[in-house]
Amino acid sequence: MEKSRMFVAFAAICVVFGTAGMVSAHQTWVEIDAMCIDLDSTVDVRLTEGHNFIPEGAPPFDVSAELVDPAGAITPLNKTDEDELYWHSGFDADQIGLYAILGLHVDESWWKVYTGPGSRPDRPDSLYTYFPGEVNWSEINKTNWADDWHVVRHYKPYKYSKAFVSTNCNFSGTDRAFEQPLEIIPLDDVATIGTGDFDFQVLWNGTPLPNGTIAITGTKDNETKVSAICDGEGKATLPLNISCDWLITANAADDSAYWDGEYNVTLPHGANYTGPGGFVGNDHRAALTLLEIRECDTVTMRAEIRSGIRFSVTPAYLDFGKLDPGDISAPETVVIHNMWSKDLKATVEVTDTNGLYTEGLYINSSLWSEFETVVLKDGYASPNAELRVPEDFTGSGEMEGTIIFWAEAI
Amino acid sequence: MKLKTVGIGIVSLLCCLLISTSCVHGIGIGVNPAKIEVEMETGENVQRNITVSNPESAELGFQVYIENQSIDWIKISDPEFSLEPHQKKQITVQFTPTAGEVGEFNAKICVVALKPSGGFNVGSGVKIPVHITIEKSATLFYTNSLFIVLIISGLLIILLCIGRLRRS
Repeated sequence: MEKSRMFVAFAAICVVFGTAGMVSAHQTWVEIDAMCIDLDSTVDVRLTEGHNFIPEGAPPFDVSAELVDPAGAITPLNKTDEDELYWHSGFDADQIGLYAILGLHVDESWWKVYTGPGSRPDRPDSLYTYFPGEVNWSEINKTNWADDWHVVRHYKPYKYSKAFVSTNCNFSGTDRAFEQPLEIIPLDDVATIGTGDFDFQVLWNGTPLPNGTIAITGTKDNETKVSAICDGEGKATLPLNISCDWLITANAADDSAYWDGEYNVTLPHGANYTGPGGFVGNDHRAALTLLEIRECDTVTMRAEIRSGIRFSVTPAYLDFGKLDPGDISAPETVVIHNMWSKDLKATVEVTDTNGLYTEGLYINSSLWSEFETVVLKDGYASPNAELRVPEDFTGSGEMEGTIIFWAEAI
Repeated sequence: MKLKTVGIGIVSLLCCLLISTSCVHGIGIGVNPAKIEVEMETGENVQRNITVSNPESAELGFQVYIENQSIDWIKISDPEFSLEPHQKKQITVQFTPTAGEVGEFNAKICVVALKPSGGFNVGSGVKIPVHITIEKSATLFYTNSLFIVLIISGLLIILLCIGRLRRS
């Protein structure tokens, strides 16, 4: 009898915790400080779970993350720390371009039970009660439950999260799939987040789910949310009209939408329940963190910058090392990044005082004066520069010179 | 000894700070507009503005000059200046062709960003193509001095004729 009382108390605690869990632990997402970062900076990656884009705790159970670098290489992001709010990791962004951070949180199994109106004193409007882990149905307190109570879903949550950072503020490539099982793909330029309608596509193992299966939501905070249902191509448009950070989430549109499991008629239920049973399987949900581009700050500023030519050359210095007459240096790759809204023509001009560079600098195996290339808008050119020291060169010491990469509208 | 160690530490820290603040990974430049078209008449002065921006997180030096030096009537207001990180500057280009200049001219305004530090430096520059059309100023017929002299002469002849007619 004493044991029975203790179990009832334990079950009540489970209900309370289950309730709290339902309210506060729906989403798991990646947090980063900024999407535009400097080359060679260290990126602090944090995974958190919470509700309404408010972190409420480090995700429990199985958490992992991996990084896709600009070259496409995938490396695991190891956990470096954990505190009350976050699972921590990080990486050094030493390549030019786009990094994708992919998180996976596999939570414990949950029961979603229809318990009827007034069954939860803490949430009088709620018809459902949630239980984590294993439940002893014969012993649980069902005092306020409806006669037709029944298990709606018994599921294991898989929460996929994604975020992007770029060392050159170029986000081309974010519209491709990174092979998360359930994945939100931004179809528009993520740098324009918060300026109006934004198209997304949600894919399950690379293909869209049937029309109406997935609901997608954009959350700014607990008061500002926009939602849409994905169509047969997995596409939906969210009106993201406020310039701010947005958390985009995708999950089953309702309890009848499932794709990784099946209905089971033998699940526990009340005496008067005559329905088809409940869903048993895995619950998949995805989250995409999109931050306002703070480097550019305002839309007005962005528009002004894009109206003229803007490009950069990396690195700022070329060091060919110690060479003797007749030597050929190792090639140094120079990255020309066109940040303008149109294609541009790039040429090179070399000046020096001793003829070393003007006579010996070769770009892509041709003398520098022959170099001319078109750099597409938002694109790159990566020519290789090498120094061929003439056999009869008599100078010594550090040789000074300048190479200017010229850009011109086509 | 302890003071010496602390002193070395402070100097090292300052050096590190100086190095980190002046560190630049790339040389970028922003220039607006990308092309300039000027239509003017002889004797007219026209000016255009160019905005130069430093998109990098380090201070950069900039130079602005005309590539085609045979056109000496294009003047740049600030041929050399430096910009702090993410700073912009508007420079003025003044077109003041001499009276005899008529026709179409092509030039390029070169804007280059550099951060010289010894060795082989890399700079990034933008060439702005400039197309200038200078037409002869269209003089109105009533402002032509020969036309005025003819009209006055004609009026005098008419007045003389009227005077003679009255006397006769």
